[in-house]
Amino acid sequence: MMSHSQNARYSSDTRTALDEVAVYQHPSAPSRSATALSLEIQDNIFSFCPPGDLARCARVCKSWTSAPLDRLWYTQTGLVNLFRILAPLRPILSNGEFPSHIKIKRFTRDVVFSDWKRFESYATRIRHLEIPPTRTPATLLDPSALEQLVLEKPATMPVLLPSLKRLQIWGQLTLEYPWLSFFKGVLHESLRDIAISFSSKTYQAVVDFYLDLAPRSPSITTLHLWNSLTSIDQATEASVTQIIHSLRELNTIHIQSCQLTPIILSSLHQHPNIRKISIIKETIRSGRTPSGLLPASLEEGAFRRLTDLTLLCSLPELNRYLSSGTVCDCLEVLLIDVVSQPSAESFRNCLVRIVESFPGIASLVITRREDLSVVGSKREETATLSLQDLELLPRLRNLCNLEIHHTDPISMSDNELTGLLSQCPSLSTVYLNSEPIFLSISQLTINVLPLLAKRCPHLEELSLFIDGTKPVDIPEPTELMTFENLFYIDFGSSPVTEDGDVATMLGQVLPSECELNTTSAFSEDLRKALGPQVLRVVDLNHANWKKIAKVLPSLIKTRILTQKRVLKHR
Amino acid sequence: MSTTEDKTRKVKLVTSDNEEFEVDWEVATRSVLIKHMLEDIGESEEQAIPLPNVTANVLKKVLEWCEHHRKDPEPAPESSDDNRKRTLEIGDWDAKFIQVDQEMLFEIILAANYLDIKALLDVGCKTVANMIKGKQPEEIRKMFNIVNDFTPEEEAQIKKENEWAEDR
Repeated sequence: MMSHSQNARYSSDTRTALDEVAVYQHPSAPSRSATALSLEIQDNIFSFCPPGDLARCARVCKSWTSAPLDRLWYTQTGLVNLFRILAPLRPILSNGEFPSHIKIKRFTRDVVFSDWKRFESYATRIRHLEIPPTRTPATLLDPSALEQLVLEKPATMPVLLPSLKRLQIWGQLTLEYPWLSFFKGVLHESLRDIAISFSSKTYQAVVDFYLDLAPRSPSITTLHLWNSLTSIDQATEASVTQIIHSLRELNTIHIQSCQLTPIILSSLHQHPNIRKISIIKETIRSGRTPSGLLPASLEEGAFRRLTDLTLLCSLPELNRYLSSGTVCDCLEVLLIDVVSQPSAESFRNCLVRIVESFPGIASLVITRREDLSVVGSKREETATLSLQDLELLPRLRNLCNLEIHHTDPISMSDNELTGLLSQCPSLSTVYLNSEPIFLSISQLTINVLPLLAKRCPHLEELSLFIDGTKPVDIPEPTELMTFENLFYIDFGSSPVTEDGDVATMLGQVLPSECELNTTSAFSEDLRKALGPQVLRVVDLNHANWKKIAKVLPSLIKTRILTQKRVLKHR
Repeated sequence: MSTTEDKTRKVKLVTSDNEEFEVDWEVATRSVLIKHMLEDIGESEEQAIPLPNVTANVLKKVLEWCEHHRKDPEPAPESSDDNRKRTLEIGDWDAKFIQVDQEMLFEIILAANYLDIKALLDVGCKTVANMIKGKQPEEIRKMFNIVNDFTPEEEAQIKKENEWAEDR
């Protein structure tokens, strides 16, 4: 409720009137009712309603029909609801052509012109259409009836789905069921976003579809090349290149890691409008791809407008790729999915190239390969990263988000890390390998926190691998520095002793809203590769941090109270 | 506009029924409409801002909301192309705030829409969506005093065409 002091802020001559309006019901004002709401407000209301409520609201009154139906039909999975508008459907016995969870239906009578009229009012409402995967139970229109519809549609409806913006076909029935030939008949210029999953059996049909589509849907900006192929042959590669080339307005491409080949990347270089190249998340760090997957070098003038880039490569390879000296200053987000364990030297050289080529990046993420090939390999002394390998970071003036996943702990003293990070004024998120694969001792200790709180008070998320068994120097309350904006902190699998000192330190430097994360981000594959002996240590360390996380809120509370008391006494 | 000055600055608002309200800049600018009007006038002017579509009793209520939410961060812009299902949850304070009679509820929705206060508009719209939840058309008509202008055949037709969604 509004406080008295707030009321007092109103100018004095209006206060009496305000006190009166509390009981004033203004009977002369026009009646405000549910039906008088504009379509825009109605749409806002219906955006919160589940499908059942939308269907019921549509028959309350005429002025309430349009907005709920727009919402209800906006996204459809499959088209049988729409075909049912044309004429009643009845099931037919499948001749074994389709799996048993797919029901096939046929019209019970001929479709006439008045049916199309009703159909049209619903068809124009569909914006997103998703054809679910083949294993999902579904009802489909008899293939021959589907083909007939395209042939018999009235001349007044040249396109069946005139508002369709996003089409996603995840089904593997791409060939058995005539989806592709149906969509060939209905797609047109409003389409913006397309995804058709394909397999080695169907890819040629999908490629032909895309090539046919390109001139009729010239506004496509987003393409998902999601498929079940685990490798790519020359013919597929050539086709994908052709698709990319034919979609001139394309600005975003999602592609599988194994398919971002030198030739495909090259064709993306040459595309005038590409801004985002992303590898489909599920295929990142799959370790499936050998190194050697980047074009010879970045071509002159390539990626002039690129803002997001994911590359899958080894670091020496990236080095070579960027060695031409091309500068892409628009690039904001760079993710390098590293395919083989890099040496510190190649990491250092790579950072030199990144700083030169992408001076404007705000987010830099370097992942590591996480599978047996890394875990089982012999550890190399030269893999440990130290200050000199990272000292170029401050040259990236816009860097906000830094994430480095590496095999070994990063070897830096408390003062070195503080010095480095304090030179990056825009950094807010720092993830420095809190869960290394090889658990050697870190030089970093919990004592780095008061230093960072003092020199980098703007940090919001921090993740470090420290040695939590070292003595803790708890600062005097008078010289106490706390982080201002930190809301997430994580020490991964850092070793830590259970006794209270580390917890006390955290209680001193963390703000009250800060969460101490204690969940491991190790994948199941990596856990398997690590083996039980290493896992026991990792899990024990995590368990110790969990104990600390439990007592932390009360420690922070006590600290805040003490601080208040100290300030009062001054 | 410098932020230090904005904090102490007062804004005068005049309702359709000629009531004048003086509120903090930070409170008034929860309304994007008022914010833009202030930017147009410039900060030196002491000019009162006329709000011809809002009456005093509604504005009082709206300002109560703005006062409580004065420190909230600016909401992220939503894409118009978005059709994701939105959560019906309302915060505790907002839920209490919006416990008003139906007429006031619609007044608040209209005012929030006119003044361009997205978060308040959402609170109002979620409340209406909650009232509709699970009800039959006849119950909805009764609740909002709506006259059924469909013929029984028309109503049956719409029901048939959208039946697939009814039990969801």
